[in-house]
Amino acid sequence: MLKRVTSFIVLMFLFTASVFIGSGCTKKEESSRTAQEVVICSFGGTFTDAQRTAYYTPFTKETGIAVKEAEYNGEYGKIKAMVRSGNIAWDVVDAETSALVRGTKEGLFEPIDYSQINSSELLPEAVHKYGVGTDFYSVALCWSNKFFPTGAAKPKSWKDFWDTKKFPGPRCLKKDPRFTLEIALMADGVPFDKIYSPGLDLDRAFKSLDKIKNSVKVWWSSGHQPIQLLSDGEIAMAAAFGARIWIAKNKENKPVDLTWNQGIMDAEYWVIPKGCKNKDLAMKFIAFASQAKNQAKFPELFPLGPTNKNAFKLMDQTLAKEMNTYPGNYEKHLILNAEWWAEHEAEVTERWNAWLVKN
Amino acid sequence: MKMKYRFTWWDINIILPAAIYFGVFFLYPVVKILLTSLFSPQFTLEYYKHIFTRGLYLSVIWNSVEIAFWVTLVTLMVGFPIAYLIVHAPPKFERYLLLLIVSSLWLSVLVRTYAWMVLLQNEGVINKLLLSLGIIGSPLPLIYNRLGVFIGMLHVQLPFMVLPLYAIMKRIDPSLRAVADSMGSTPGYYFVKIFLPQVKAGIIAGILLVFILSIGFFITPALLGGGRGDTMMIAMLIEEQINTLAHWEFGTALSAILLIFIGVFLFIFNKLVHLDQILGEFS
Repeated sequence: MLKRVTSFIVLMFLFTASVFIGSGCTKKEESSRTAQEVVICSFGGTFTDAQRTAYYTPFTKETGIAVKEAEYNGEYGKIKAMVRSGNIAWDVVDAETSALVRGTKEGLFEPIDYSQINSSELLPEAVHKYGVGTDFYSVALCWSNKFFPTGAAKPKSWKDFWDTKKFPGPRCLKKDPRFTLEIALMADGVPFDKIYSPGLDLDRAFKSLDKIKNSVKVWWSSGHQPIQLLSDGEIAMAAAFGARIWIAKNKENKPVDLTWNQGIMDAEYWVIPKGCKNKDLAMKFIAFASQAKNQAKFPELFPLGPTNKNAFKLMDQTLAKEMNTYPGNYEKHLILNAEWWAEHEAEVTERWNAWLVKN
Repeated sequence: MKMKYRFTWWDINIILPAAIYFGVFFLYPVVKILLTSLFSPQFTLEYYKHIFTRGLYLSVIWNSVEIAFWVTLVTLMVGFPIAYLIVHAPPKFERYLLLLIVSSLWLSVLVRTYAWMVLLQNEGVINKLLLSLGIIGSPLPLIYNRLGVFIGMLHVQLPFMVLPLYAIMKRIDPSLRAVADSMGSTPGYYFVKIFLPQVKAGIIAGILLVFILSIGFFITPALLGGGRGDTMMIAMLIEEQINTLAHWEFGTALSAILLIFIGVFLFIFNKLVHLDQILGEFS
């Protein structure tokens, strides 16, 4: 009898031990961190390469605090799960505006200590109680030169995007009511100041979208999709991330082009998950990344508009003039109203999906 | 005839750790998902009501079923001859062919899906080839529609159809063929009356596996389907609710509906083909 019980216990122990060791969860992520280290989570790829060169490495050089990188794809759900479980693996997160607004509502972030930041230097949209804007990205009108060779008329506005007679060819729009509904309204002739007041005219936007639905070959969900489709000549025009198209055009010599006219601008924010044990180090990093001298380096590596107004003075002026937040370009943009979206995104997303599915 | 099997202490030794593992890592999370969808925090059925009162979710579930059905059918049509070929090939070829089928499982689904994009696009390999040979006048729309999704999913699901079929076909006594021939049967008669009934278990296993995998599939339809309404799968909506919007109560309700649906499907499927008897054949 004793032999049987012992053998059972030994087997159970071996089995359980092998499962846990094999899965590598022998320590909680938090406690395995060394002192003087901050974990920053961002989107990865060439974007984070640029962040590393402009922010992470100089930060470590100046303060001696090491930067450990983490990667995600903007999943708000991951941040929420982290805060709810109390196991905060990330000290600083590069969050989209939608995540900032949702997270503020659900109490997932630490308030920002603005005593360390000169907020007068930042553009107004970048100053939020629970996040500091790091850069502005745009969704802009882009096209493929294969469909519009030199000399041919180029699309200049979303009205042109909707004009399939004058500018024939397959199109590509973001599979997201955000940005796309605003584009539909602009194509229908709604001026900037009327787009969000009193709120997005959903009926008008969807009616407008009905006109273009059959010409949209692909609805993209990943940022590089429209870039690749445009570069390959699979589509004629797209609403895509302006920065990526800019890189494809200027650094990779792809046959694509873009205009900032009627682009839609939105910001990304550094946020600190609530319950973060490394709050002070996180705050130090955010303050560092918000300084003009550091923000000036970033656009050279990845062409996103800085949030610090003084950064332009410290940059190469030819590059500065091309940035989406440069005076002149900035005014051509519609600023995405994140508060309106936070209020209505649930029903609008549902209506959007229903619209996509119906014939 | 089933013999009664006496469970000894040794059996419990072996089974209990696995049972506990199963309980902790499978049963508990599924129960937790169901509970999350029912309590917010008080008991409520509003999320389930929402799913059934908005046409969207039922349309998308039906869409997913449709796509899964066609993918399963096509995979069976393609997988059956392949398995047949492998079983009846000379041993050396048999091994290589099997390796070929299995090796596609070693590559990430994402990589394979991207490869299909390169092949199927207007400017892709297939269209370029057909155009240069003069077979077609303008590029065929092979991608960013249902066809692209079928092609991609067929490729991904094929091993899951071929392997069960192969396993069953291998067990069939090859001498039966000679016996049937000597008794005057035609190859067709042998195939329909003798071969097929014995492979039934493999066909059923393959169908089950591929259908259930396909109905919850996400990556391939998302990339090859072009984000259109007729290639929208329920998994995409679930992902949106859980990851992007973090409406966990609603996302888990959608997941629960999918789970229940698959359960109902299995129940009906079982009644139709007597799954329990077929699986019982193995004991």
